[in-house]
Amino acid sequence: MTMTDPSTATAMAEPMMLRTFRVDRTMKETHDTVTLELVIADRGPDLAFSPGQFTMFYVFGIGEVPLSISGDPAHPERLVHTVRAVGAVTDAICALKPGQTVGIRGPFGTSWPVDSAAGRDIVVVAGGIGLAPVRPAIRHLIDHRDAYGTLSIVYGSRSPTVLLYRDDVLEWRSRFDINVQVTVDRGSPTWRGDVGVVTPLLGVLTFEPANTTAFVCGPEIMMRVVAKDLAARGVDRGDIFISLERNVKCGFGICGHCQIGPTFVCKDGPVVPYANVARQIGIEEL
Amino acid sequence: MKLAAWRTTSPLLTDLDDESFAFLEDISEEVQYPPDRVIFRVNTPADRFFMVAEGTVALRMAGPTRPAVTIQTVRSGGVLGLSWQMPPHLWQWTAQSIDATTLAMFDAETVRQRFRTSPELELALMRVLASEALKRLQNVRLQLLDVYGDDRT
Repeated sequence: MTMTDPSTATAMAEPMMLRTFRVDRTMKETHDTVTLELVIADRGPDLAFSPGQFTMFYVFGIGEVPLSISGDPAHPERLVHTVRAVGAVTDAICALKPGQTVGIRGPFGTSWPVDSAAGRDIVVVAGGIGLAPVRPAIRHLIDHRDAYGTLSIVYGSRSPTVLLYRDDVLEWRSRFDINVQVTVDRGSPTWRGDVGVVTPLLGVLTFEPANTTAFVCGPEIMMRVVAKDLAARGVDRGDIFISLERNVKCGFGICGHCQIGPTFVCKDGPVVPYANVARQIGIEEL
Repeated sequence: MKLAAWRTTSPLLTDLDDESFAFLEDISEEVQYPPDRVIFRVNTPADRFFMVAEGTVALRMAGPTRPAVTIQTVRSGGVLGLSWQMPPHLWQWTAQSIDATTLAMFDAETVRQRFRTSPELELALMRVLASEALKRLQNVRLQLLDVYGDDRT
């Protein structure tokens, strides 16, 4: 089995140190999802990160949540997060206005192995808000397009009205060197694209399974189904990387809130080889 | 219609023996539809089935107070039409081309007659179609889970 461990590119010297950032720009992606662009407000260095890493995002007086970074790793001077309002803290984050300040710890966690995947075919499968954590990897892959074999992106969403990053997806689709497939669970009368789950679209991609690295991000049920399908097509389970999501609190492997068996999602993840967690994520309610 | 190009890629054809494949190829008829054309309509006789050669087909259902909703799409290589296998042999969904579509069409009665003399074909084809039906059932269950939806709703 080929094992390619995700790298921890940016180690935190002071993981509990809170830095202050200012909201520079907000963009409404869908009715409940907002993209925030933040700039440094504390005169500290840029927040260098690797694709797939996350920060602990603190809204003063309300609370702290883990958020994957969805910006461009080549531009660490701007910290970008895409957030869906699903609770008290994320509701507050989505309501932030330009000029307000927030607290940031991190970046934390492992990253998509974009360096060790050089020379290989790449399959990216994202579902729903799961496109956000994998977008920095897609940006890197496109910026270094010649370093990889075929590049395929499959994106599944609930409906046409909640597709994320429409401009990005249109740009990716306009390129001749990327195979982009988009599907929705529920079509609309005007939707002329695919309808259904993402797995049937894996069959229309061109990749050599033995030389393929896959990045999969979305709801855990979706990632499990996609990983199994890719493995059945011959992709090694150690070359299929998924991004786990759990109740991260400390961010650096102390508190154990995010543990799945022996895996600390904050420290050993969020990006892990499917081979390492296939058994655990197959256990109901774990 | 020549089907060799799909022999290794279409789930309808990949597991057929040479004789069964030759039979299906022999009876297949190429049919073409421009975009937005109904291929078969719900509650009409299911007397054919298809393999999508090119294009995309939507399986749709319309209600009296709402426009037609697409529940699945079938792409190149996919099997279109399962209702011909079992009584009452009526289509349960309407199939409509999304873009310019070419289909390989098979006459259901001709295939059923062949089953009487070729149980091998019947077994092989039923395995293929049962597998296809199972995949679609599992996929629709995932769609019903609404995994991308808002947990609070």
